[in-house]
Amino acid sequence: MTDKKNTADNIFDTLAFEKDEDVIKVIEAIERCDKELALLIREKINY
Amino acid sequence: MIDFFIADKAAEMIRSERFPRFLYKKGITVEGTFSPYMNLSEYTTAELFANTENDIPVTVRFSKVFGEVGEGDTVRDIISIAVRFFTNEGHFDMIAHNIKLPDALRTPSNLLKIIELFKKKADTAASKDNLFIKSLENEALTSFLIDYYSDLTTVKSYSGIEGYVLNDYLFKDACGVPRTAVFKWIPENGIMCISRSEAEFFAGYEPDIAAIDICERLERNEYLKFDLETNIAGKRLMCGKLCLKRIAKNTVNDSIQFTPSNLVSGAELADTDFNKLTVFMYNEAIRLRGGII
Repeated sequence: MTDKKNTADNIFDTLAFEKDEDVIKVIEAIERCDKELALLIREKINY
Repeated sequence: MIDFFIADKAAEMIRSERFPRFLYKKGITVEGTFSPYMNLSEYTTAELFANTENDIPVTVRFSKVFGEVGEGDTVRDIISIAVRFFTNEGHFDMIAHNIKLPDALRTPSNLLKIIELFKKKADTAASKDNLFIKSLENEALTSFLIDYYSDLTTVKSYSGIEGYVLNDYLFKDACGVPRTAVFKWIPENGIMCISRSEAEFFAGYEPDIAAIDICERLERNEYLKFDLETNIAGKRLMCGKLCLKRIAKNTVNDSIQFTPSNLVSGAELADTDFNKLTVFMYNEAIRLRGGII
């Protein structure tokens, strides 16, 4: 199956030029569907 | 009954881009056979699923759903597997995509919203229309987008993709008892997808890599094989095997048009608004563009 880390990378890239408040909303929406994926994206943002 | 305004909007979208096609522009068509594994006559009278003795000729078109003709095969996109079975009872078409459409999105308005979102993204090729931001209020759409941004949508070989059949069907046995049936194509070699960095490399290095891969495999007599799995009223069964053996002529690839309204008796479309809209959209494209149906 697909690597969740890659999915996190791909989504993180789409958010690179978005406003902070939009990014937060998107991550919250993703969190409702997939907590682990949202965590991976958060980790990337913090890094 | 589909809302008139939804049908009108769908027709307008299709009319905006009649040629080469509204969707499914870049693809490759192959021919082969479908061999049923087991007799499903207790569920359906359709010869396609009830007769295990004869192989059924098929034409299959692999295509990118939203991509343009000159676009790289590995550019992120949903991939379609459209299969036409040439049965003695007539043509039977089955259109599948490599990402599953969640049940919550199987409504006419959601289908149009998805097409609109993805078409706009493909047309502008810009990140200013972020799909996630546009779909914040719709949890099912967010879940669909998570699949879209996984490696499933970057492939360099069409031989390794799953296909979730878009429409759900009603199987009817000899007594006319209906049972819902959903289908899925499973690649014999397993799912093969590539990472974003590989996809970026191949999009520049060899934009037609997926088509070339099919040609090279078939030249080496490595036939493309897919199993057809069905779920009939909650019971999972393996229906048969698709074996693709040769490339179809370019004229067939350019003109073949699939439609979910190509059905055979005993295997009908379920009576849902989603199915009705898909039939309307595929048939509207055929009416405007023409082609082999």
